[in-house]
Amino acid sequence: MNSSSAPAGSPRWMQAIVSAWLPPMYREPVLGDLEERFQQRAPGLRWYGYVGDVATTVPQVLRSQLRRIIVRGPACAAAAGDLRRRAEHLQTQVWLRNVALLVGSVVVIGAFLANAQGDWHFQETVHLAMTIGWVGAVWRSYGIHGRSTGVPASMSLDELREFHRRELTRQMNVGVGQFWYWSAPAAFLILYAWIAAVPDFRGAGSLLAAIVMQNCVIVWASRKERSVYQRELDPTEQGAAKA
Amino acid sequence: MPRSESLGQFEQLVLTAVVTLGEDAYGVTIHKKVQELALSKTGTLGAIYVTLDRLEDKGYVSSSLSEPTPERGGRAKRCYRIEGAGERALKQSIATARRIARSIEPVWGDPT
Repeated sequence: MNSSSAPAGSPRWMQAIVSAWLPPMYREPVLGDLEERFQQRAPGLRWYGYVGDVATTVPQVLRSQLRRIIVRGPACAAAAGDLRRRAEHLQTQVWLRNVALLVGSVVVIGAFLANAQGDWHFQETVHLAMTIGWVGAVWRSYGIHGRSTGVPASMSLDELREFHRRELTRQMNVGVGQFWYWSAPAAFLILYAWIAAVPDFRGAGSLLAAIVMQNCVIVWASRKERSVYQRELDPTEQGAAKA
Repeated sequence: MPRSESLGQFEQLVLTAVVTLGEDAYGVTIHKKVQELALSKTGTLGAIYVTLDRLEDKGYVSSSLSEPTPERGGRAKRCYRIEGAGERALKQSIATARRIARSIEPVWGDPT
């Protein structure tokens, strides 16, 4: 990255928003193409053009990536020995998980707020448990494991192997010890709901049980994800070692 | 293994753009070239990516990342090049289009 010699381009906050919605393997080339088109336009039209490009490009890229995931299957479908492609696929899985959690969280929190306003009347306990669970899951994905990162273009084979071992394993890795970290925001929200927001709240016991169950499912799913990834990583590393 | 299937019109335009642009074939330049070839503002940049992904999955093109450049905010390009299967498919499409043109000419005259 040589940002100091680069001419003034599109705002960084805009790039950050677009980047979050792009699968990792598309980030570098698509953001670069959008930037190039931004700079080619007349100054007065740059913003409109950029927003128009983003609006027409990002959904198409998402659609194409989802089709690729469905048609080509998981990372093991990538060509044997192609470490870069495999790394990109695995990063796409991390991205997909994060996006799904984020979208789910927005929907659940929206439903919770609508319920609080009296528009809907779901059971309070269920709603609060769902909201806390989703917030915890999103916090875990972004805060603990980090967002999916692009695979740098200039990596050598050894660096790619190191990237596999360190970065991707970190993003997929989940230990039981982290269970307590995930439960921290949930505990604070329960206290808030109990003491401040809903003084006559009676469902704390069932709420705690629901959260424990929810976190157990997250732990199980993440460990499963980790073991699948490890199974894919082992032959890749062996193949690379032989090469 | 790439399947043997005919190319759609947009795929033909994109493949032709990749061939004619040579080493400079990436998202923005392919989009411009496709618009030139189609003589219209057909297809968005997003549609180009979707088509390139599909062509790559079929084994008609391959891609690689180039070095980052300052005018792109320090980001790399994904450059495309045509593969043997893509070349055969495009040649087949051109031959079909020529046969159609030859067949229709006695009825309509020059269709262009």
